[in-house]
Amino acid sequence: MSVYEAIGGAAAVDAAVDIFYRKVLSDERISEFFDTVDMAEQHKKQKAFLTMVFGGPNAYTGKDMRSAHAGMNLTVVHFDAVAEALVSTLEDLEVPQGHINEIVGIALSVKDDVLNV
Amino acid sequence: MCEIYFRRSDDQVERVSLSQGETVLNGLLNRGVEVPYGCLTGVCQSCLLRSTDSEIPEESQKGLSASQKKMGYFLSCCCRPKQAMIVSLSNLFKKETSQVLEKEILTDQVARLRISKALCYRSGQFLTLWKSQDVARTYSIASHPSHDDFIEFHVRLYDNGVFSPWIFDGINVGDEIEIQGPMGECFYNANGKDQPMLLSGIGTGLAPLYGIARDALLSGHTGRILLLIGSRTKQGLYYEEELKALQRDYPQLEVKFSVSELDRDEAATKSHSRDIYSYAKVLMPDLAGAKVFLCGGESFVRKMRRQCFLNGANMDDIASDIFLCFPS
Repeated sequence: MSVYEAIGGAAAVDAAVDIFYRKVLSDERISEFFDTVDMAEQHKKQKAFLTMVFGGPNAYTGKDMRSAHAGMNLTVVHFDAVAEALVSTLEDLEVPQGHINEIVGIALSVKDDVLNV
Repeated sequence: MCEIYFRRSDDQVERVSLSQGETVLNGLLNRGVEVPYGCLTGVCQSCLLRSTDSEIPEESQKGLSASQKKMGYFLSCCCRPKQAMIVSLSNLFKKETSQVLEKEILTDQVARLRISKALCYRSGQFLTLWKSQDVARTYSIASHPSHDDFIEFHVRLYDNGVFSPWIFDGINVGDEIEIQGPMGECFYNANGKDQPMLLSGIGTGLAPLYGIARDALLSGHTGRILLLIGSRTKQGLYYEEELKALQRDYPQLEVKFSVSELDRDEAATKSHSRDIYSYAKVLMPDLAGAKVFLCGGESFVRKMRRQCFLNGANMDDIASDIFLCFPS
């Protein structure tokens, strides 16, 4: 069973997305990247992101992650801030540590693509 | 350049070539094909067309319901296709003819228009009102479908507008007016009758919120309902008596006003709060589990939605209507 199924699939994404988006919007290191005119559109993107890092069905490739973040001049500080928001969201939802580790592993696997290095 | 095949009927098709970047609506209008339209910004849905067997650009279906999308409806004013399309007129919303029953100038800025109930709707949805074949505007509904025998709108006057001055000075009781709709997802849903509700708007944003508040109260909503209305000046506020009366009948309703430009006396007596955002935070600090309805201009809706979300409201529980102001 994948971690996505283990934590509850699409329902887990639904439970996590508001908490996660609230955290990134409140974090001054990264809020500017998420504070767009179209909050609903941004909310959808967060859902797609969470589905991906939870190991669920998604259409993202490393190349997509690379082009989506190109030209944003992102640094490790930004990446870490998102990773922290992710972990703290999972902790709020009392996801077992083993699953959290697995999810962080998926997030780390796209780190170079996100930072365009 | 790409081709649009406009299907008038099963055996009558007209071919129109679009120039680079041109919208389907513009292309059709420029070549003499009559397509109804209103706001030209993808809101009023007057220019809805249908295409069942061509690829539809995603941006031309923004804001449509899932079933509308599935049925191939799209907004021709926002549609810049990359390849040929076969399109036809939508008859999803037929124009209905209604009659003006009552018109009252409430303040020098706001008129109340009541027309006969020519179609079904939910309080808080909006309709398109037609002044002529090619001038239409959308207005939110303040009345209640089963408790009122009329459909009520609150019209804000824009002196240089092409529509609102006509409502103030042109149209009269007894006149016919064509209407179309309803549209919009901003209405009360009775499956959380004890949830707290925050209804906040600017100016005539009160119209849909008044409708939603009454709908909730008449449906037996027991949770606290906070109705917070903002205006730049005190003169911009209206309906204070009606709201007071509603509060008397329903203790769960609380109505507050916020005026951003107070004169010195008013500021000294603190009869109104200045800043609607901080006032909302004071009145209802925790929005976890609350339903939120926001109606007003884009900057207000955007800022208030962000604040409500950060104060705990779920994204899916924040409904909003952005009021457009048209360049004349």
